[in-house]
Amino acid sequence: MPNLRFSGRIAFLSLSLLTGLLWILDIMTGSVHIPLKEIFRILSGSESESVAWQYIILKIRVPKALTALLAGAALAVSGLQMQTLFRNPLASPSELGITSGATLGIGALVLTGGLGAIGPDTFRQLGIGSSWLAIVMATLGSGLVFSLLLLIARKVTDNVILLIAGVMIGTLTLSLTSIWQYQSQPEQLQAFIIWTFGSLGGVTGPQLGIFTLVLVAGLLGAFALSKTLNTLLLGEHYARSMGLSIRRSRFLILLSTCLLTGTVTAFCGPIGFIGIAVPHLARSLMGTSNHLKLVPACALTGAILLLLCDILTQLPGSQSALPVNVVTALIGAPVVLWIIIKMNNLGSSFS
Amino acid sequence: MQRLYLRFLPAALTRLFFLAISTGTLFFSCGRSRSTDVTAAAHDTLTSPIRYARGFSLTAHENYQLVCIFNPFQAQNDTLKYLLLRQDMPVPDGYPEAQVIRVPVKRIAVTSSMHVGLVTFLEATDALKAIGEVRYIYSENVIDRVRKGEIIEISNGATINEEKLIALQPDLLMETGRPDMGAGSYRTLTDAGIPVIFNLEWMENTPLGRAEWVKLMAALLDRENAAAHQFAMIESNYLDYAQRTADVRESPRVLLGNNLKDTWHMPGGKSFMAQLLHDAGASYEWEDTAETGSLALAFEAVYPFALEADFWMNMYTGSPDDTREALRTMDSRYQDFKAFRNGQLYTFTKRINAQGANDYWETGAFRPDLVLADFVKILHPELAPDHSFYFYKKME
Amino acid sequence: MLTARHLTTGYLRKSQDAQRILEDIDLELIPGQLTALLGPNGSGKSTLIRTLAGLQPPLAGEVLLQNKPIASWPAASLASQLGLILSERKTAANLSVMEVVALGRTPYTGWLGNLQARDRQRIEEALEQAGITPLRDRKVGQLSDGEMQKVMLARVLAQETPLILMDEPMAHLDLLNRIELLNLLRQLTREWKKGILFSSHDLDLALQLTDSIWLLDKEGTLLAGIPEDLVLSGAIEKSYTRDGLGFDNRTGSLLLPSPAPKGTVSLTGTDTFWTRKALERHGFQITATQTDCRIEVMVTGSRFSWRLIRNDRVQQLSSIAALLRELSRS
Repeated sequence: MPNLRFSGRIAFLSLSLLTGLLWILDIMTGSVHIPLKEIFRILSGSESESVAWQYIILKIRVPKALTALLAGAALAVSGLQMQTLFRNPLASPSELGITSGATLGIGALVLTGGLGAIGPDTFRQLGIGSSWLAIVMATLGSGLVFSLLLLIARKVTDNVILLIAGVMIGTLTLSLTSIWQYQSQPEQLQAFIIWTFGSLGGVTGPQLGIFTLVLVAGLLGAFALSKTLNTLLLGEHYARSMGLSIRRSRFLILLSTCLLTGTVTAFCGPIGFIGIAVPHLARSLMGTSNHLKLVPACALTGAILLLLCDILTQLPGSQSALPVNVVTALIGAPVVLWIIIKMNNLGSSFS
Repeated sequence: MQRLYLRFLPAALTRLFFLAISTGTLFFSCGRSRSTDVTAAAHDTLTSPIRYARGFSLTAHENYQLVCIFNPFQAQNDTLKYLLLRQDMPVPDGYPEAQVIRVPVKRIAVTSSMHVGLVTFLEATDALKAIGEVRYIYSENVIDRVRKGEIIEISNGATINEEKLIALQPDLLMETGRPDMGAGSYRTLTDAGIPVIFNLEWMENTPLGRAEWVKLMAALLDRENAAAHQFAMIESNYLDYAQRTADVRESPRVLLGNNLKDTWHMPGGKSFMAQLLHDAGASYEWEDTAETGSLALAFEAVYPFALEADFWMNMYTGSPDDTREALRTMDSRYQDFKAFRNGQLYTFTKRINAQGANDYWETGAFRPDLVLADFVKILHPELAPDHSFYFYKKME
Repeated sequence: MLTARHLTTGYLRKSQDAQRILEDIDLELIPGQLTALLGPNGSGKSTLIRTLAGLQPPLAGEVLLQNKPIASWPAASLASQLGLILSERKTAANLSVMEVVALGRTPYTGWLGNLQARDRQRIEEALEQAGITPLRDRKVGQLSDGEMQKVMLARVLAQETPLILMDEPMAHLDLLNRIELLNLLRQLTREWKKGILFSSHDLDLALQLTDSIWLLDKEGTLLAGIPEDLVLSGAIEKSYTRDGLGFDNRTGSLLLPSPAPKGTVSLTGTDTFWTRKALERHGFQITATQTDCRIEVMVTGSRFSWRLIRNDRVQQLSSIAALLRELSRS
């Protein structure tokens, strides 16, 4: 691929700046007012006049903003990889049931006793070992759904039918989860439901380290797959004729996607709409389908969008925060509608 | 559909779960959970004043008290330990995993309206600095203090606003025990020097066991004498009413709860609600079941009994005016019930304030004497001649 | 060199016998030659091309590339030997021409696909060869079918394979674009010694421009040879004769079924070729002898005019269309 042209550089520069800006803004917003000067003092490592402020910034807001940044990037890049692999503009982790697969994996972990229950507080208190186990189980769960989709995609070429198949698999997976829920006690169910609202505030301490490590690895992996993804833009037959090993590529894309989606879902709950909406935003923003540009652009745009959503969860004047999933849906659903209405344009990005 | 339903489940439904719980969803023995020898040890200690509650122990040592909260949900992180220490006392060795709470707690944050009830009951409202949400509060005093800004709200939708708590720096947060609670819960808060204690009162399967959690709150607030006194009063009242019904010849059949989303959550035979019914001299169809929590029954499994039951209590109509009409609107099959036809319908909605908060949720848990007295008044009015309804009222 | 020995193509089907399309055929694709794969719809052209490209396994026999079974080639080295243009028209509309052509360098670039100087040079050459250098920055979504086909050709040229297989490369192109493309392919075989196989329906062009033809019929037999031999042996006539359609071995063109005869006219004049064609197509028989309906073609300068003499009535007409109208009036 040619080097980034001038406009590309400007786009990346703006996206990075905006990411940084929103990251700071996310740290600035919260229910407790902390003066800007203090925030920068705390961030720069100096002592603050209030220990409480220091805790709020360093132990609550910075981890949450970091989680939003990484989770947004991860979900967006997962969505991009899926859209390219399935050549389907409506493919994404939550729409094709990959997140429900991760939920199933976590559910299985609860059933087998590896976890006591899922709730907003579950992952914060896991040991290192259990955290890894949760990541592995969520990744396996998503991988299961993903493999099933790949099987179906070989028989079904129609985008919409594949989407319906994905929704069906998602529903199937969710009903398995529901059977398990039905067996559980109401308050376990309640904790689970709170978990499904999605939360960016639950990843702290050593979990944040693991979370960051896995997601950064997954994102770098996705970037390394840029060439593969580009080759797949012409369809699998062409990709093969240009020397791509399809089976290996599929597996690597599956691994990267499921690692990213599974990890985010395990720690933050199922977060919708980022995965489907961001790749389209990034494509029209960058004006290209070249993954060497798209993967980083998606990562940045996804981070921006989820940071923005997290800022918006803190409604001005409101004492409490909305669940992040509600806000991503509020922002993401119109984007998806726009995608469907502009289907012509869209269809043409993969035809 | 299922996913949407789960994702956007309204807060009202979450409240429903609590209703299901209140009608008797207690799961003590669904624990594989609690290591029995810890409990045994706790009860062997002569200094432990805890006689009914199974969810916590309180043992006095020379310079400190040890509180153990038993997590009934999961095998791991079984027991949460807390050291209650006077301000200047050194932390004793031997409890590396215990959280240290300096007593008396001068500034307490709580999440449930039941915790608010405990604090006001112990006349320690001055120490109350944060509550979950004021709209669930019945106590005028507390509502007033929230308005004046002396008490802040810390609910964050489904979770807790940790930022506001850290900024507030209370001495302790009391949170409702949940399945996902554990030693590492709220690490952000504990790291910031705010100990977090879990209240599992709703997991008890005896009415007096639930009430006894007042002693935990008392130990924290340094109101132990008052609490011991109050609890003795509650206990003796309760036992008095239970005694009155011991010899009743006819036990009226009682139906509880109603059909919600095709499931009728019925308190199990070993739940505190079954115990209350038994002590009130009622006959309860499911009293021989082994569940400490609730049974999830199909409508048709309940129907034959429901048709014949003499009394029907604890219905949820979903509308602010608790009327027979509202109940009929929910499901017209209800009007075939004998209790419905005879107007023997009772709900715990007598004490509801202007903003819709119900005192039953605030104080009902630790006033089983009043609940039992209401029950006796409903079922055997001749045995409670001088009692007037406290929580319950007849549905019009 | 790509060879097929005792090749049987088709699809394996569960619970039934395999669906055989071509049976026991031997083929040879030679560098420096332009070969057309001709045959009616459904005769198995695409299946054969996919089998030769190694995209689907043969039912029997083998496909050898440089005497090694094609299946045993690792994908990456195969991609430097054999290029492919498929009939499926899948691209991402957002890619630029340059980016699509650059994809042809996939077998040669590193793990991120970054282009080196040699890659860039090859891409420029490929754009040049395909004649689309001016289009390099356009998005492929905005291109016409003809331009798109050239982009795909440039891509396969950038891939630098000695052999190229193309499935229906001219399917959506108009006549001029077809001629242009075919001419280009011919040049590539001459100047760059590439071996190119393309499938097509276009008998006329194939006969004129290819070095060899593989002719398929519906029965699954394949005849290979140079165009002229196939014509003279009557193979093409046999393959294309059906329902009144025919092949004129004399002119090398397809014959249409004749319309109902309408009458006999005599035609005289200097340049009667196109007038005769039109009249014949409309069912008139042309004779040189005098009839009571005579047409004279007159040329003054570069302008044509027609004189129609019927029953001694004379009409002057300025186009063949007007002539035909007049004729059909009686």
